[in-house]
Amino acid sequence: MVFTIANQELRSILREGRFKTAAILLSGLFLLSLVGAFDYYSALKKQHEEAAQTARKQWENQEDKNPHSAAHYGTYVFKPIYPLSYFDRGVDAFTGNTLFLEAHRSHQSKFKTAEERGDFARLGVLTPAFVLGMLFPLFIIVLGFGSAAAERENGNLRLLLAQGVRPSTLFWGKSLGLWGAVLALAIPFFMAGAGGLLVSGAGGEHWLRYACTLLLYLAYFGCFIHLTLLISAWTGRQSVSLVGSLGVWVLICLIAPKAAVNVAKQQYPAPTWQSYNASIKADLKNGVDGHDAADAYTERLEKETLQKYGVDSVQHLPFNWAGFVMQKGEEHETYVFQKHKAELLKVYQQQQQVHQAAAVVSPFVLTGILSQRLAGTDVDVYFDFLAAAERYRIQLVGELNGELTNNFKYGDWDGKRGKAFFAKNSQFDYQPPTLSSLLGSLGKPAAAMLIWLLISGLAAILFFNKLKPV
Amino acid sequence: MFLLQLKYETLRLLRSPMLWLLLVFLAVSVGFGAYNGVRRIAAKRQSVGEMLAQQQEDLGKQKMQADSVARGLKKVGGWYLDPTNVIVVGGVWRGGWVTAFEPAPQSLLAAGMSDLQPDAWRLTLMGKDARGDSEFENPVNLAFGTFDLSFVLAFLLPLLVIALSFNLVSGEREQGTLALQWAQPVATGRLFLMKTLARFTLLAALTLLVTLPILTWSGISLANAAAWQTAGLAVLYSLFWFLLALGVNLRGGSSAQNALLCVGAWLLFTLVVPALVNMVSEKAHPVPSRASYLNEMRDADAYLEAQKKTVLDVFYQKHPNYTRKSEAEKEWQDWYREDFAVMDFDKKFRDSLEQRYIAPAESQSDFAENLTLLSPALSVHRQMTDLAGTSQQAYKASEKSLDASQKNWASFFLKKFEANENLTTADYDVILKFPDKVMAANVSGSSKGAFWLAVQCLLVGFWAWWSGRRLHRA
Repeated sequence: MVFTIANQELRSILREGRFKTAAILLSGLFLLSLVGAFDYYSALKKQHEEAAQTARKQWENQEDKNPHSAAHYGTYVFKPIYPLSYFDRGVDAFTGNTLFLEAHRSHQSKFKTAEERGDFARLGVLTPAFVLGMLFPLFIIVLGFGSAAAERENGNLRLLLAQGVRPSTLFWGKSLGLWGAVLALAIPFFMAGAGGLLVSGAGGEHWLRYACTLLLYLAYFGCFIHLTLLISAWTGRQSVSLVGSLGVWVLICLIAPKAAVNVAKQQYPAPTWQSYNASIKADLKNGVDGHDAADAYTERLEKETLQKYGVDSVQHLPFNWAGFVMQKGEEHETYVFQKHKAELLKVYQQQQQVHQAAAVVSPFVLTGILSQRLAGTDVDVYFDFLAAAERYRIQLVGELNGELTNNFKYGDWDGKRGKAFFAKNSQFDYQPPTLSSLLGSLGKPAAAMLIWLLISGLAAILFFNKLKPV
Repeated sequence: MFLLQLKYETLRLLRSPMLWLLLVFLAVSVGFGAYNGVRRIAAKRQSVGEMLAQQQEDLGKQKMQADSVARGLKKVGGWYLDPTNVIVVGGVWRGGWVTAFEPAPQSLLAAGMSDLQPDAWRLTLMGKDARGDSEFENPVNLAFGTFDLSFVLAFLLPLLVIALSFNLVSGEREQGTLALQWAQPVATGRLFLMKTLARFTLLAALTLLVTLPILTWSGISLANAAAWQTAGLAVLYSLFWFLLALGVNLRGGSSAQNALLCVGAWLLFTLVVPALVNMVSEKAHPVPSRASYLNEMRDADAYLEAQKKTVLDVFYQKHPNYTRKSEAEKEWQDWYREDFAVMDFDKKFRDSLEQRYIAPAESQSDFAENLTLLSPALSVHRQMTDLAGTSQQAYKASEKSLDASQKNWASFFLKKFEANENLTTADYDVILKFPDKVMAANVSGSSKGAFWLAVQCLLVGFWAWWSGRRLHRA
């Protein structure tokens, strides 16, 4: 009986003009979004790769200089662009894509793409994730708002119940029929979406990520199928069901994500520019300053080092004191910067917990979090990139200070190193977290998604059981 | 007859639980949007206040030290620590003068670009550096965007209008009251016009009733033109959606069909068209990534260093009073004199490089703005951000006034530098009174959004009239 109802539901949906109209419009938008987003992605990827190569060349070919001067000259690292970012851009436009690395300073990343765009850019860009996350649920609502209500209004429900059809059977049949219509459109979309991975020649890891993304979106569509059927059964009237479903969509896709932002910012405000920088300045004073010999901490370090090596002057140390003190200063500065960045990160994590809490009312937020994480465009990957860049900065500056400490004589500030030395310095080779390493962080939101799917399904069955004929 | 219709419509709607539900929803949304705006302004003011208070405190202390140094009561470890030195105070690496954007009360209307743009700039002798809380903004918050009044107006208000007008004619037809009305001894057209006018008057009154008190509560007084402009914009936007619902009704479909069509139009105008406009603009005017810009700046450093000698040749020819010295002979004044001498040439060259990124970004933005006519939501967004002074254009205009401030700041110190003078406490008094706030600039042509919305109302009105004529003929 379930399959008979499903078959009838599917055939009646496919026959209707609104399926054809909505399917044509949505397909057009999806294809457009795919082409546009892939074009943007490939141009950006190329530019970032070229910039990374140029930055390395500039580092290796910098004019001969003292290693510590080279540490001040610094280098740039660029956030890599991942293959699936054409599918879901995530927070990419809102994170700086460039980081300047130099001695003594841990800079913020610069140049957010969104900063330079016009005002309208804040209203969203057409991407495959936008079409699937924001628009596809409307397609489901348009197809399914009358599923139970129409049967009730046109008297079919009375006939069905009189024939011994159980309400839950009706739910499963209607649900399967709706799934059939959804898959008729979603499967071609998913196949077309994979085109980007094919063209970019992405490896197996990205295909696996894409497969997980598709499962995620199927679960998301399932939530909306259940919600639409639930509201249709609850209201029992087509017009009220339509208004109700749309109201729920507005709440889930528009209001909840934005309201969560405001609640998160008010509950866990980020530090002000002044307080953040003042705290760093204060902490920096409580340690060695490599550039200030008169600094109390430097003087104490000098005393301790002289004692340790049993000499009376830094000139008699078995290494270059200038390089040594520079590195000690660097270590203290790194400690301070990391301490404050960790505090800032904690605020961000608290804010993100509020976003995750919004997932209780919004599977859209949940889908966004998971989809971005799988695409490698979420905020956690960005922070991972920043942490890797900071580790590289420490390593690079350490190599330069090490050269100054071990291979330069005391007071030799005129000594220089050239291409042969700079070419041997470590290179920045950032590898984003692999899918297997993400499994831990994906587990909780994925479980939340399944709970959403299950509870919405159970609630829909409950309302189908309560459905009374006219 | 209008008053009679108004009374009838009012009574009818007041009995509808849907109206009360929607009114509460709108009031809560407007209230929450305004509250968020108030909090946003308070946070900006706190942040800016901290920066400026710290600046006053630091310079106050520095003034005392300068006095001690000038009287010979205190020695400093080098010129770079001397509080009477123009370079130290005027700012090249340190020093300088922080000037902040002062958010206007109406900036609560729309967050616009305020979460991406700097709150303040440090003016120095050679330019200006940005600073502000946007450096610490969580990218997730930026990506989702904020719940502000502009969002409520552009996205949620149309839903209220649609809910109250999608069955304007079809509802009467389905209840059988339309035939009764047409049986009255009054011209059908007139009756219909009065009924429509009455319904819209009621809608407009409800919009004003919700908007104006909340704006007043949130700090935009009714004496402020922005309050009335916002309310006027809300009414005009309601008119657009009302006319659209009317046009849909006049096509003669059922209430369910009308609801679907109206919601489809809402979806198209508020979500799909803006996203499409952004995508097409991105394609038509691609902006290169700033990643390559930094590398170009590195190459520029090498080029400018190579050009420096030629520029300085010209400078020393024009200023024979200065002696060109070898590197070993140079004092700090000689280094900085040469830096200032090449400053304009450097800036011009670097600006020309930056234009390669700014120009396409501006073209992209202009292209998108030229497509405003395609969506009334774009018109509203544009007008609201212009009214709030948080649009990209407003920030650029404010930056120009900051550039003028920077020139004043630099010229005060450079005159003293050229005269080889040190700063006195009297100079500090002048410095401490230097303007440290810039109001969000008024955007020229700030009624463009409202203009486009009026045009869109005319177009949709014409379409509604055409639908009505077609139905009448049928």
